[in-house]
Amino acid sequence: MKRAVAVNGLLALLALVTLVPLAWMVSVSLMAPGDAAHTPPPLLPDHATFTNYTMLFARLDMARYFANSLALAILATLLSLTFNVTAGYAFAKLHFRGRDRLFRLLIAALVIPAQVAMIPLFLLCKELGLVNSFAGVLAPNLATIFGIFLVRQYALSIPDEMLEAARVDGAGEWRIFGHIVLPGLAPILITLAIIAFLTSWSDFLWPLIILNDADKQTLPVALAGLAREHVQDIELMMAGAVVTLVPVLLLFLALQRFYVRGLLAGSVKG
Amino acid sequence: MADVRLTGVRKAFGDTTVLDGVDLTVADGEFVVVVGPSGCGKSTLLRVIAGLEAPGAGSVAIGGAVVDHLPPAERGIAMVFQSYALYPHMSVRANLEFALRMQRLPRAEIRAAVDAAAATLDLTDLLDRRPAVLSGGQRQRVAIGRAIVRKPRVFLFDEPLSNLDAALRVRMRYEFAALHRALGATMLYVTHDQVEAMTLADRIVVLNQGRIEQVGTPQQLYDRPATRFVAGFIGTPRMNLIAATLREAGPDRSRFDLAGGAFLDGPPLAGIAPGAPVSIGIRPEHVAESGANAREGRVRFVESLGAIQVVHLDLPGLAEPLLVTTTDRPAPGATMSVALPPDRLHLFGGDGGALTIGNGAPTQKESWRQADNRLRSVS
Repeated sequence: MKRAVAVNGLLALLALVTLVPLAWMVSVSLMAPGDAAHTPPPLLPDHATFTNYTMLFARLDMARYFANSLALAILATLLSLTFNVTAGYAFAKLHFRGRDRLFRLLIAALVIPAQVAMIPLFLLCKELGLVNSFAGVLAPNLATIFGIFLVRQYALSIPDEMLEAARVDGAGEWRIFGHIVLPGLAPILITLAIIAFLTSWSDFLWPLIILNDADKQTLPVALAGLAREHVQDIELMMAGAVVTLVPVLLLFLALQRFYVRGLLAGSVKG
Repeated sequence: MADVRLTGVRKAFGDTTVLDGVDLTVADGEFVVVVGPSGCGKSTLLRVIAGLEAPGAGSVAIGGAVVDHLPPAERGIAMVFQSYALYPHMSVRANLEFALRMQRLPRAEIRAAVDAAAATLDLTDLLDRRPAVLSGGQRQRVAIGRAIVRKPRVFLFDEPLSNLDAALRVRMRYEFAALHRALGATMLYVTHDQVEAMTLADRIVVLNQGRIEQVGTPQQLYDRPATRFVAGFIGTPRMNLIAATLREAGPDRSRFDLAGGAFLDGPPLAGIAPGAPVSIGIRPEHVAESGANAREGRVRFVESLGAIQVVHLDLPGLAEPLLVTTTDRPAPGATMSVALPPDRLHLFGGDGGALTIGNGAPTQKESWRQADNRLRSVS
């Protein structure tokens, strides 16, 4: 009992530590310009105002960056689902020459930090003429080793006999994949979709490198620009942070039930 | 006409040989049970026939046509898996319909076939449910239904009852027998349970380490096992097998030395030299109370099966206790007189094959091989 109180108390404290900056971010975004610079900084606005949001969207073109980020995140999610799920299933259930060796190679490549690959990746994109295009932003997201690994581990739990029953029933491999396998993979599809969306939405470095034109920028890059140019406008920056953060936070909260289930399912089912 | 003919089928996974030259013919409409211990290759045999595994060598023919190059769906077979392998996200109806939808049959025809199968298997009330809410027996029936709707030429059953509890297993055994009578289709049924094999089969194939030990009717296998392995595998309680050495083989009788100076008299033997190691087999139910080879032993342990008692009896010269079935229940430690009638003894040589009993007639193994060949030529 005592232990439970202590553990819950600790968890509540940690939740508070996590939530307070978020709440303050929202609070500051509603303050009038200059209000947050007082010492000590106020916790709540005297008069809540949407001035900062109006300025973001009216003068700083935030709507365009928001649309760019949204379009890229949705496309990245679709591409990730298409390629990671087919590849993960193939590694788990289809037999082809060199399958296990290739998979081991992929897993080994997981230890290479993404930053190390950035320069070669950029040169590749340059050769392919993808610099300063959305295609260039999306190219590295087509398939990820982590995504393939995630789907493979989950797909391993699909009984072979079920796939064989479908083969005996006369279903082709694509039909088996579409009608028998995909419905069974639903939890991991949602997990993968959330991960892909969040990764693309919050990616900063790669869009910064590959995109030049201001009107192609994504939210995190625009936000960084905002922080540089309006270093004293704390309220404006916080409004930008809210715009960047809230959609993904809501998405995650709405789907977290599936997200956790998908992550746990692979390990529990083995 | 849908007989199944396997010729020299071999299959290896890496260095492990699973099927080692299997020749088998299953006649049209026959119910053949393939039985053997775990890992003997029986499931692989079924999967080779289904086309789910390609044989390393040899050939499979169904209905007189070689099907080695055909995918499973085009072989005219249906398979019921041990785990049932139902599609979990589909209703029972959708599970039953799946194969027919793959064949792009007209909707009305699919519906009629599914309704008929559901009626046969008492599934009509369950058609809208998902497999997850069904009991083991109901799932099993759905799996069978999925096979029936396709109207296959050959049914393949891979240990279909092993996930059910004992009572349900017995009931489903009757249902399989009834199904075979009703459909008259060729059926191959794999199990490790020799009771299932004995009760269901027209003929039993005993498989051991990828080789066929014996093919025959349940009674043939029980009465005249061709090898020591079959003798020990078929029959409950299992046959007693006693290690011995042949002392003399005569035209009227033979005599065997057991450990510690004990001996047993057996039937006349031919074609074997004295001094050869042999195994003497006798079924527990064939041990008599008195007569030839009368001995006295001490009761070590009694297993009660209700109607009969299985007595474990320590006899001089035997490494393991002799199993004897009786109707009354002796007390452990009591002395009991038994006799081993020579005409009830089964004799196996050092290679495990049955020995020639009598004067120069073919060995039991040979005679049953010949019988099997005759059956093959008939079919």
